[in-house]
Amino acid sequence: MADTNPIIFRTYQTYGGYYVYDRHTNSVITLKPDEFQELQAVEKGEMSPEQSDVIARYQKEGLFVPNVVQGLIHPQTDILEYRSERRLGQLILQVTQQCNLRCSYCTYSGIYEGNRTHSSNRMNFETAKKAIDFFFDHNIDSAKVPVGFYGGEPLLEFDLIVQCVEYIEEKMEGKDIQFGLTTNGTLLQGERARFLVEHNFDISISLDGSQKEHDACRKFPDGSGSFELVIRHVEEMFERYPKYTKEKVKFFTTVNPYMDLGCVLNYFDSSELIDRSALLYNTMVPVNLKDEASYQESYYLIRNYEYVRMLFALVGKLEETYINRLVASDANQIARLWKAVHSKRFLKPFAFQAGPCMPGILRLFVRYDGGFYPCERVNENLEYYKIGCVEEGFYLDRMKNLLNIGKLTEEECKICWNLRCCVMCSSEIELHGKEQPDKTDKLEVCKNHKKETEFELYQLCVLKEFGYHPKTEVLWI
Amino acid sequence: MKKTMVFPYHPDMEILTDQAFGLKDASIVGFASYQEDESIIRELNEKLGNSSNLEEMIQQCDRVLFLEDYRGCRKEKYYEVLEKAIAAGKEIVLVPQLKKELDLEPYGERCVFLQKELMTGVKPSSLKEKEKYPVEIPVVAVMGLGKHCNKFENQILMKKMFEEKGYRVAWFSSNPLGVLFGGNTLPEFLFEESVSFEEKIFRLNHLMYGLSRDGAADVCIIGVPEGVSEFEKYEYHHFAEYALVIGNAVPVDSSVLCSYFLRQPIESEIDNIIRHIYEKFGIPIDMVSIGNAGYQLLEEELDVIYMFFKEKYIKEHYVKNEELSNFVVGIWEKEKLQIAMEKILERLCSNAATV
Repeated sequence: MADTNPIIFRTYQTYGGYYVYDRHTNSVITLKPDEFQELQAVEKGEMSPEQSDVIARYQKEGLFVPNVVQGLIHPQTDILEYRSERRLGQLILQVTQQCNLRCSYCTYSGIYEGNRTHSSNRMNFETAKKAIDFFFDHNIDSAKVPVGFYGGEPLLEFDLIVQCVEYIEEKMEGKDIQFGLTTNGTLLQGERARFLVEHNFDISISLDGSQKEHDACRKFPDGSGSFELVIRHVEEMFERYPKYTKEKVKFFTTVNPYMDLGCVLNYFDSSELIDRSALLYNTMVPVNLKDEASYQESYYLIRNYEYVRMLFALVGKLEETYINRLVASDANQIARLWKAVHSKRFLKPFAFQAGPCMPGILRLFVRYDGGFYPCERVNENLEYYKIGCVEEGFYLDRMKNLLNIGKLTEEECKICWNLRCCVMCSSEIELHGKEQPDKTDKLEVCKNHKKETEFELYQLCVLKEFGYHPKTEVLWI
Repeated sequence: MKKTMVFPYHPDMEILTDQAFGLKDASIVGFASYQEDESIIRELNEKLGNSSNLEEMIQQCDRVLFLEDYRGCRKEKYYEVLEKAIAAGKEIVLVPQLKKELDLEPYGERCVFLQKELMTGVKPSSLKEKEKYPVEIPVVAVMGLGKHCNKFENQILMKKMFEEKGYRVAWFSSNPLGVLFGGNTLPEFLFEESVSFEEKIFRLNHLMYGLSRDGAADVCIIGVPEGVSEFEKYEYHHFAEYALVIGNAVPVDSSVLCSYFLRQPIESEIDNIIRHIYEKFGIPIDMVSIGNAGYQLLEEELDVIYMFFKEKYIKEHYVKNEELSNFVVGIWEKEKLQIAMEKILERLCSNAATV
């Protein structure tokens, strides 16, 4: 008969030491070789936990507590309702589903299973106004009003953006408004640029590196590349509004299987126009694709090289300036794991995996027709992700369901060693044409997450052996 | 009866609305706030049958009361309302927290702070500076785990209960709005950084001694500001300095501990907190009041946010623990709250030292 309250831990070794990860305390302990061997014997079932002196010894220090988890419930489930009523984080308006480019890797290019494609659907001012009013009425306890405009290409609906900005500014007396816009840069000129500058927009421009790499994917419908036009507009921005552009304009590069990553990095390293600190990388994850796409070997070589440089910098063998922005989020993740395994928070009877974020709360994505979605990354065609609309407000049950994605695998999670380090969002799960994820789909992702955690724990210990300690708790990006 | 308009939106407005019966020499003619708070302000004004028109409210009121900016909004509107009120010849009253937030110099003596310090017949100079004197009046403390855990509402209800039973109450409110309900503010020296911990204890003891010597009150309620311990690295609560000063200065006979909203209170956990408080501050807890606010730690922003739950939400989520003693009561359970408070009175009456 299976042990219903097993002691859950994971042993591993590096070249420099022996370790055990204890799930209950979410901590990593250094072991002596003989302790390691004994715990491995327990792990393999060659020895019962009751027979182990090592376990008995460490239990006196609060470790190796038999499993206390009775069920899974996301700790933010209860406060979701409050947050949805009084403290929404950010409003994102999808002002159009149309784009003047036809980028080959775009989420809306038709290469993804079941995802929408570009269309002429556009938001009208009435819907935008309702969404804005809804956001204001549900953001009572916050002093910040971040509003983003998203597309397609949002600048195709510049007049609507102007109307929204004027409406918001007229309504806001005390709170800090922060407008944001994600654009392909092809329409960022003249009156449009001036308006965005005047209203202090945070602008994210998609730019995939050199002309060759950028134009390989980011094309107009006639097949011509957009690089020259985008760069001309960026140059104009720097010329006309130098201070603003330096501070408020970021460049967003989507690393994808169709580009030569080395050329992209070389371009940005040598660019006199774009400062490295203004760069953000996003990596395309080839999930739910109609046709398979995979990264070339050169991609992994380059990425791994940058990764190793980052590790060297973390242990003080290289200056931090050697860390490429490409791997900055990995450095962040290491600091986050360090913090987690030092947080001294013990498991409670009702626990949950880390993540996902509170759907619709941190970001409320409003589709052109007033439908609410957790963010711009989910498939808007699926009812599963629709969490409300401007007319009816939030569908709390659906939000709670998305938040509690772990419930799909509750029995497995209760005894999974990775429960506390696993960070999963439902959008990661491949649907295989279904309307919503199921247990089998999720368990596939779980396998990858376990491998990732094993690697991250191993890496953390190696870094520690080389003297790693996060300098500050404030994350880099 | 001073007709009072209140600006800007603050969760305490809900208390001013719900507890309006307890206001002394004050009535609320309306709430005003930033334009973006329009919906919630309208709702509050409708509850009291007031208009939401700023100009009308200013005309109708005798004074404008300015509340703390709990969200950190821009301050321009404070000055705008302030100037309108001055132009209309109205009194300006501000909560003391605004001293540091606003530049009030141009308005000179037009602006007063919502403070009412208790004066006693005993002159401080007649007492030995470093000696503690006996306080022979029963003292009830209302303390809590931190900000926004309904300490203020509990103090109002406690005072009401004592007064209904015919007792004269001296009340040091942890919230300056207590002045509107006939209370006193805590003495300012308690919050001064230049006054030592020891001096604060002696001075508060002397004040309480004076109060008990005056014989003008039968019981004293003290609201303890902030919390009884720090919240990790987010809110230090002055490391419970106020509770330590009060616990050392005054023999507290009984107290109410206010907690944040607990979905499912567990008796053993509550017992642990009670024991901790008794050992740390020497203050006995006779009642635990579960509040209607929660908090969330924002790990990445190193911040804590407070959440003000509505009664509907609480009723849906609160899991009653029948085994819990009657002294653990939700702030929304008004009848049980009254009974638990009366038990405190019984305890004080049966306390030999208080006879």
